Amino acid sequence: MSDLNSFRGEVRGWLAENCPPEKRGPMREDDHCFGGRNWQFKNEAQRVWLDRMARRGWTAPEWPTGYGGGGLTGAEAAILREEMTRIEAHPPLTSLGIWMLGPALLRFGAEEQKRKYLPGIVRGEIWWAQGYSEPNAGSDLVSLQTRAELVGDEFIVNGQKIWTSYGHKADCLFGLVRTEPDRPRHEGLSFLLIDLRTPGVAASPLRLISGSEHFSQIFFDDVHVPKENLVGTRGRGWDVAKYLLLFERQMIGGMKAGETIRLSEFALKHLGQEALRAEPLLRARVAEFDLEMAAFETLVERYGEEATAGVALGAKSSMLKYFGTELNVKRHELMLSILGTAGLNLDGGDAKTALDWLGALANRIGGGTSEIQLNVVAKRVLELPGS
Amino acid sequence: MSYLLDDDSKMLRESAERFFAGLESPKLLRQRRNARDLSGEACVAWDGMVELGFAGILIPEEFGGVGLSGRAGIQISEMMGRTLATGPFLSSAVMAATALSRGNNRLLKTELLPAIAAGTVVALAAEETARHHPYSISAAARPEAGGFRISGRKIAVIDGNTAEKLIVVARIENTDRLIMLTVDADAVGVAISARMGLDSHPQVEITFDDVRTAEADLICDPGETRPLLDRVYDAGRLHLAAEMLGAAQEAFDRTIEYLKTRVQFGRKIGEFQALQHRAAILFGELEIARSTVLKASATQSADSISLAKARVSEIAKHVAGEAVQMHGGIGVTDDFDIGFFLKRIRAASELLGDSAFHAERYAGLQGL
Repeated sequence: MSDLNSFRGEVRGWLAENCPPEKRGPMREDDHCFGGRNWQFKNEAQRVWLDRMARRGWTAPEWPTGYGGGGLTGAEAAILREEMTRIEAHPPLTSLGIWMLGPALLRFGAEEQKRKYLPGIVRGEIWWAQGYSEPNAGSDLVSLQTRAELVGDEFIVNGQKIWTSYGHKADCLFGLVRTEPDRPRHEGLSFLLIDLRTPGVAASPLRLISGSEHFSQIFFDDVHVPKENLVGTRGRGWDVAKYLLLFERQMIGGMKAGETIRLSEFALKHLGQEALRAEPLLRARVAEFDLEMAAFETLVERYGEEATAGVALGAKSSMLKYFGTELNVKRHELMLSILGTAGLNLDGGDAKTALDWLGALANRIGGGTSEIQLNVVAKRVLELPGS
Repeated sequence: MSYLLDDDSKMLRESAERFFAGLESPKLLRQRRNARDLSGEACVAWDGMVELGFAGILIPEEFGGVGLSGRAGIQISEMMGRTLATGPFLSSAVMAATALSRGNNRLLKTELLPAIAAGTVVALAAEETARHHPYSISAAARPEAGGFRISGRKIAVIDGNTAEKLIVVARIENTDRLIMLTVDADAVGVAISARMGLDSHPQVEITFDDVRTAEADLICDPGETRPLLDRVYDAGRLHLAAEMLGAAQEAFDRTIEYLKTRVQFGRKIGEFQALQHRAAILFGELEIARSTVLKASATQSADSISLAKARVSEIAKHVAGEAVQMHGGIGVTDDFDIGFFLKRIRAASELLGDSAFHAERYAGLQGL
């Protein structure tokens, strides 16, 4: 315990000295640092903060130091997170490389691949995007059709990906392609890394109802990919993807919990106690929501603690994604109710609420719809019979 | 605080699980109801619970108890809920023990706490209104030399029919000061009547007609009555939440088993997605319910206890209703046990404040 306490002291001191003031406090959209070959740092502080954290391996605190990571234990990483939260330090890097590709490589990658890719991910040198969904393979992901045919030392890739976050800005893509079209659906997929500068790749953004251009579609037309870019066993890509989807669900579900003020605070701030008491039904809805949210947060905390203690969360993480995103939609609908017509003005100060509400609808779909999450729990947790 | 079970909790959980599993409680409850037995004497579980130390679980060791934290004790209530076991645990071992040990009457503690740990039943007679209004007390305490004369009517007295001692909350005549004091159940002027309840537990009403008490019977200073009553109720609410969690978990587990075995349209009904999704939501809600109970038991704070009582009440009612529905016709037959879980959950959700009461209390504590 005293070791952890002295670690906390060391972290606190280091952060105080090394986290630039510009990288603390509430985070705006453009405070995210995605890194990559063409990244334009917002300011010097953003560059310095990434550089300092990456040197310590603290952009990927729990990865082995041999691959550039921080080599921290789960408990130490938790302390680092807590200390960063305490001073409202921004994450130095917003990266699917760290959240998704890294864990996949650590578990399924060849030694050579780990050495080649992990240190660059830690330093934010490559902006990685994720390529799973296709126009005809959304919830039914395993039916995806993008082909990768092995010809000599290269895969020739043809097809289309959609719902790729920042695919039009990213440097490289990891994702699933069909390498064995004659095998049963689950067994014909492989996990492949594709450099998006390769000739034959064309990416364009998708505009959503919220106005966001976060997602993109990517077309592949005879794209040549070296065969050593295959991660794991050929034809077993589904195992890799399933493993990563657990991370994603946990992330999307957990992300929305507890990051913002209580709805009651929002209501009191915008309406005041008297006006709220004059509308007992609205007040009751706010109260009920806060109660539901607080109850859900105890689940997030418990699962988090269990995971830190080494209890495998497995498919139960689907429940976090389900409740987290459903509650987030409900929260934004109530926020719009509280704002009334003031929330409809897209040029006004409260415009964010409406846009976030529309974004919340997308979160309930992306990363596996709510219905898919319930399927996962029914089959893998409750082991209900399947057809 | 931690959500992980500490060693005391694990140990108690195991011993409670073993003990209650061997009781065939739903069967006993059914027998008692069929015989319209309101005496409570057929409660064979209590002797065993006393022997295992459950009756003294919250009582400090210096007063003959086990002295475990309030955290571990909920394991017993959860297992009672799982098996629908009855016995004056909530009333005597949780609420009365909390009142006496948190009060400041040392003589009463010395007299009653060891007795409770040894199985003597002490029940709280406080409620007067069908909906929970903790401070709405009209039972009158008329001061006289050396004590008070108590007159009034108390309802929903949990285990009031088997109690030897009652803890009564009354209002000092012509003031708004509340007092909490002990009264012998067989004292002159005390009339106890029991009726059969929805959950096959007795519904007990007690009237007090000019009952003589002594100042030495006061559990705490009159100024401390409200906060003490809050603590006593909160202990009870937490245990009711744990009991509902256990009952809902059992009803859910039985339902999942049923979905895996019942065949209609040539297949297991658990293959139907309409049922799978509902089952998955119930699973998630139960996980949330469990987390709220663990948090409330670890922090023992008023807001976390109201959070747990409010959410677990709603979730358990949802689970029980769905359990009946998914069992179809057999679920609404009296021969089948699932209805007993439904009824106990409904009763427990109403006791000591329903979800609306606790949502309101929680909102108040948040400043809304």
